[in-house]
Amino acid sequence: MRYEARNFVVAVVALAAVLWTLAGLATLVYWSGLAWWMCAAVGAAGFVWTLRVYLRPSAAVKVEIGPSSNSR
Amino acid sequence: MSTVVGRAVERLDERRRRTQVYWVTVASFAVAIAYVDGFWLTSMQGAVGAIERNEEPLGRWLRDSTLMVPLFFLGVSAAVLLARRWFGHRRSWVVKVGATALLVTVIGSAIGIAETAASSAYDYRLQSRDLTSVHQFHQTIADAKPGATAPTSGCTGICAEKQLTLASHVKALKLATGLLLVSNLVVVLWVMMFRGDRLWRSARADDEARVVEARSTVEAVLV
Repeated sequence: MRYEARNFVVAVVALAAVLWTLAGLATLVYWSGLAWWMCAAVGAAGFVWTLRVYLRPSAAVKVEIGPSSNSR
Repeated sequence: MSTVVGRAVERLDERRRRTQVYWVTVASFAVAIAYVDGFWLTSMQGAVGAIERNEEPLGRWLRDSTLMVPLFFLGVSAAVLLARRWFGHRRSWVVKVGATALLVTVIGSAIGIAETAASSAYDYRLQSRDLTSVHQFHQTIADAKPGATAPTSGCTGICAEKQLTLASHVKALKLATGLLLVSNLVVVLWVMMFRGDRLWRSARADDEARVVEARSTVEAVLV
């Protein structure tokens, strides 16, 4: 019970810190007028990451071994 | 859900333990630099900023500085960790503390300058918009200003006024850069006087702690 309470408190503090940091960053981006550029950069990075993950060759490729035509 | 949170908290705890930095020292640097830089930002905004953003300076200073504290915290953490990696093995205490102070000053000032530049950019956007609307309503007044010529030839009227506004922001930013660097160095040295002996934990102390812990475990098993 004590362990869970500690986890809860740490999680709340960490979440508050993350939100606070994001608010600071968002303010800087908004002031600088780079909001659209930042959105585009994040979107492009996300797209490239998705491509890299989904186009990665899968390890579970079945290799069929059979009589080859040029084995003679 | 609780297991996910628990695992995340454990990982966070592990990482915090591994970094071996005195977080109170890092927080002291971050808070001091954030509020000093916030003071210069508020002063600059009051001098050359847009009229729409005019408000009570004290409240504005407190709000903006508080908002930026986590970014300064991240910057100071990076500076202390870099200093530990680059100069942690040096024997000379002066080199360690001096290099850390310099790194914290440089990284803290970079964040402060970025904050000031972003605020100036926002002010300039608002002022440009105001100039355009004023020019549309009172074209004769805006054009008739004597001496409103920008350094670039062929730029007169509203273009010249916008360029003059931009030039005043650039000048203010240059001035603020020097002020930020000097005041941050002074603040960092002040904090260093109080917390200079508690920047990071040495690897030897960590090993000794582990030995003591292991010895007590062995003793507990034997007894």
